[in-house]
Amino acid sequence: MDRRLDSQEYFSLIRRLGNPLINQFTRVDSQEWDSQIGIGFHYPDVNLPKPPAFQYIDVNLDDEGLIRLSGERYLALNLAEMRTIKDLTKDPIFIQQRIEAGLEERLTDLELEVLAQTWSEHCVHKKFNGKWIYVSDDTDDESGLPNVTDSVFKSIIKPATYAIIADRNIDWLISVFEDNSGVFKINERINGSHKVETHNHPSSLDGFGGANTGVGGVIRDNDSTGIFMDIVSSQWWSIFVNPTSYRDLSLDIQSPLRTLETVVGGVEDYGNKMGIPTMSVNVMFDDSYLKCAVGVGAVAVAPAEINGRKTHLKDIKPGYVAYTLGGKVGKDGIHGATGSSMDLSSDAETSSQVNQSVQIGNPIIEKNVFETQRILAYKGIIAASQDCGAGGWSSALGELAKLLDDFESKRYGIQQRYKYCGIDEQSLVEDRLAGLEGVLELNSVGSPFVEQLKYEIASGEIFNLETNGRGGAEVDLTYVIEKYLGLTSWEKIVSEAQEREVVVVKKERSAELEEICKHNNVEAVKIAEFNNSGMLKVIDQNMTVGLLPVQFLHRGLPQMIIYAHHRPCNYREPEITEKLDLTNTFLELIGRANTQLFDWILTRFDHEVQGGSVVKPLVGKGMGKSDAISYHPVLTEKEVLIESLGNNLLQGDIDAYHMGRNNVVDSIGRIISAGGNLEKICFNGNTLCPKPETDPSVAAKVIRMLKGSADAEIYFGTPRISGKDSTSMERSYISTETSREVRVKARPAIVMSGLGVVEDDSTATTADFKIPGDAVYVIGETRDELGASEFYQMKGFIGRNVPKSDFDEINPRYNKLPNAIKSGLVHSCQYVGRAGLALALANCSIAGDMGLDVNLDNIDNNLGRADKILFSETTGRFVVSVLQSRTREFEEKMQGIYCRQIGHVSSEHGFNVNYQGREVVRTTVPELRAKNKGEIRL
Amino acid sequence: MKPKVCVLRTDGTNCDRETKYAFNEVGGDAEIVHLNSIIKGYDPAENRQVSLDQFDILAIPGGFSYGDYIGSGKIFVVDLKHFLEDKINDFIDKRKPVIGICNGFQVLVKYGLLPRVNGEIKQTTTLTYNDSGRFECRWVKLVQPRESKCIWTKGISSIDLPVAHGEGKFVAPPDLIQRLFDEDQVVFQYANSSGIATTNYPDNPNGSIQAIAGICDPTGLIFGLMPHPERYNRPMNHRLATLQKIKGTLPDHGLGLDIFRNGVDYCRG
Repeated sequence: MDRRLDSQEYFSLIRRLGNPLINQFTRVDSQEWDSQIGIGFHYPDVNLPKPPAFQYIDVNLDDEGLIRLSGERYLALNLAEMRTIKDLTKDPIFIQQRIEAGLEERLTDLELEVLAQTWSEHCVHKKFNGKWIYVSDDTDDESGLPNVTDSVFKSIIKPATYAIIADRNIDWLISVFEDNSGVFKINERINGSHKVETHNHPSSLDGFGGANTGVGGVIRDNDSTGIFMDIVSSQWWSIFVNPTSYRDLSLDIQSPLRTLETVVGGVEDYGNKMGIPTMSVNVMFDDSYLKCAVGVGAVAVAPAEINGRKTHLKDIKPGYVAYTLGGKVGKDGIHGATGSSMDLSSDAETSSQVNQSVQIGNPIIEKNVFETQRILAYKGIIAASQDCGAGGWSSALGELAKLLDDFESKRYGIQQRYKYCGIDEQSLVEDRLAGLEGVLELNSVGSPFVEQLKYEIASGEIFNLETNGRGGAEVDLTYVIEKYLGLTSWEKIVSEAQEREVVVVKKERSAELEEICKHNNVEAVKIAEFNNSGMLKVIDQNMTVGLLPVQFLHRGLPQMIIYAHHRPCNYREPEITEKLDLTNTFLELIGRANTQLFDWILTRFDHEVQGGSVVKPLVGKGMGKSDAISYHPVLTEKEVLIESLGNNLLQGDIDAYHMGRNNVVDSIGRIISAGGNLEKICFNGNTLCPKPETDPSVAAKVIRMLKGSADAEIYFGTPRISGKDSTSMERSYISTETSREVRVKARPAIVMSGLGVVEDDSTATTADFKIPGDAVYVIGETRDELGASEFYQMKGFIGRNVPKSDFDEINPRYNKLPNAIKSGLVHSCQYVGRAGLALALANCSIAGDMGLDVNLDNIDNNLGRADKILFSETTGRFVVSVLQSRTREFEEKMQGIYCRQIGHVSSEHGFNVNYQGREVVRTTVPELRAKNKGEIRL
Repeated sequence: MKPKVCVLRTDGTNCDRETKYAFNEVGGDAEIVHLNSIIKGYDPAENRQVSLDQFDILAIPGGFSYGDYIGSGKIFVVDLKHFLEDKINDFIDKRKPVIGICNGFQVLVKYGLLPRVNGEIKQTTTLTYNDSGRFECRWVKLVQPRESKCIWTKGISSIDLPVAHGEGKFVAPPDLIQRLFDEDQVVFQYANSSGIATTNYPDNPNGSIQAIAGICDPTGLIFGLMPHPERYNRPMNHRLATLQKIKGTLPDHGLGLDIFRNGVDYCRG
């Protein structure tokens, strides 16, 4: 090119090469270019001015001033919260304590930042714990929601799980909603844990960094459940906008295609380098997700006990010390926790404060930390662990101090009761427990907190503890290892720099810990000592830089009120002319963004590492997609875990309550299709929505989908053990066409990640057709339920007839099909989901590399149209193939279930679907495969 | 007596546990040993002396040693040469078997222990970026061109295994490649479904010259391969296991274990 690049060209070029937010670009004139030197050597030198260790901030301001302060410092605190902080500084006892510690009455910057992190939406879920007022215009509202719900978390999500535990006498859940991930028993010897997080905000700014550290973070969550866990699976799902949409995005932000590509790269890098298989992968598209959704999950295992000590319990007592293991602290990820609930506004990309909320990952360091933590745990050195995620040490140590405070308060209460009742070390354990009514909730299920205290009571430890009922910690930042000089104390304590784990140990084991860490190339620094002061005190360079009461830090915040108003949608069913030949429609439908195979992504993730994989993401000779994957989490044990997902985003436009129900039904169905059963399934729920507090219709969808998912969980006895809510899914940008600001709010979604435990791999089943001549069955009635279907969407409609899962009909199928599979009668099994029977049949053929001849007459059910039969998305259905000579046996097993034979697997590649005496689809397996490769490729 | 296997681990190693499991399943007594334990002769966690001499087999497992940031296996090789050269020479001189899988293969090649055609320990070949430019995780079919001299693959003329790597393309000058074939040092080649060695993607997942997937040294004791035999440790690991089950061809054990069994059996004599 012999002219200068104009700025438009320059920007589109650099945007294709990298992300202007995080990469640096240099423009060199071709005349001046020296090929010997190239662009020269740019060493990433961080030169920070030497800052004061801390500053005092005046919070004695009027309301306007408080709000301004919150905004200027990116605290993301509202007026009520700022006022609460202001009030604290007037508390005479608190002032006295400050003076004694050498601090002024005014708060330090560190204290303010610690409060903002601790109270961030990310950490305390103010919205889910708010008071939800629900008004419905639907006279026949199916959701059964009351007018007032005091915390959707405490009134919908949690009670569902406890109801299931009680109704079904579940004894395999040992930790729910309390620790960093939910814990269940895989068998008597091995525990499993599961947690799915989201990392939307950073991924929207920088796909690689965001997704990379998202994976790193969620595996740390699992790792720091109890004292440690081994990560056996990494999961990823995302919702992106279609790369062909949004032609008017400004040039300096990450393009949607680049977002997709770099998120894949980030997930690949972390999982592969950590040696964790990434098997469960779901890539979804919806044009309301300009702020992309990046869901990252992990499953982990640990021995139930090590030397008689239960690994899922955390113990912490005054005198114990905390070490931080792993990464160095730096400026990356400051304000991640608060930033994630702030607007991703059109100028977010230029704000250096928000830029910092993307962290920099290093999986090799994390791998070292985990390996070392494992060694320490097996040696009985670790008493408790906590990861440094959102809010960094501020949250990790704050939460540990809070845990200690809670423990001490109970220990004190127990001791007082024992004194009063005259119970002592000589008393029987039963008597010790019996005397605790009103002090300790002895019947709590899935509470490691209560279990730890019970252990102390049973072992007699409780009688020898000295406690004043309070817990606190003294944090010393002096010796922490920094990436570079120039960090202030507050930056150090809230930084979300990656790969850091905090472990709590008894003081006398410090030397051992230090030696083992050093031997394993892990940097370990003592960072805190626990005490019974009731205060969180922070020291840096021999100066006190912060002092906050632990109870204030974690006190109840003013409750948010969220108004939800449900108006039934007014969509109608579209009138679509019936085509006699559906071949082209069929082929178009299976190659859409939401139906395509994405084998190019799946093969980039190491899904075989750790050597336990059974049902892979790509199955059969023809490599079709598997909707569920399975693996042996522990090689020396028989058990198999199955992972699947349920998410029908668009259905929420018609009825969010049914979407919630359907997501659970789908996820369970997929687990069954891979050889699972209803015995032991648990869920993680991830809510995604724009700010519900600003839009009653959004709030209505959110509460309705939560209720729907909980209703389904209760019905099928599949409890939720953990979850996460992302309630700021909106993004603004300045349109390059209109120069106006456009605000894009995401459709509310509840992504249900199911996890099934099966006793061995003998029932493993895949979707691929296997033997020519096998009978092809459809299980489950197909109804006129195309509302929000892929077919309607392709035709530009939403429709009205959203699938409504009929639990009473589906439940017997979910019970009988596993038996048929167990008897070895089922050669292939595919759950019918997105794009209905069309994609289900196509995938079985693609995976098996075998065609089929089927006739839809048998499953017409008065639908009267081939397109409706093929494209309906009625839930709870399966396509299975059965050896022709054993069809009678199969039908007997499935007695009482809607189960219709529609044709045969073919020995050729022809794929033929007939209806009412004519051919409606006529194509071949290679053609199907080519189309299913899809429109989005890199 | 169970042969003692050292599964050597350093920063970024990640296939150590399944490699240990595979050896133990076939009668080995494997343990995971940190590089620092060998260097210092002491393991503080176990509180005991450690030496390479104690072991009969050395296994360098897969992973991303030190992140592979400046080339796969490179820093691990520098560590081994700098700290343990004498000990490794001694181990090899005693004719003890060595296996390097994936990252371990990259280490053996870059150290120069493979293919070592002239007896000199010097890097003569390399494993570089896959032709696809991407990390590739998929199952491949492997065949032995002729019964090679490798002690690890006796009786295994063909096997299906998964690969998972970004840098697995075997590259060497033509005359050296010829020599490897002539000397029966080519142990495995990537093959198509008919069992014919191929350079076509994806049957050959990385574009290796002459479809080379694994080689051994002239003694047949040192073996390196890109695919992961430890990941085929039970019958249901195979990507077509559900089909094999129906057809009655599901083996009674994970066939990848046969490689480890050969190594263990060799030590038992």
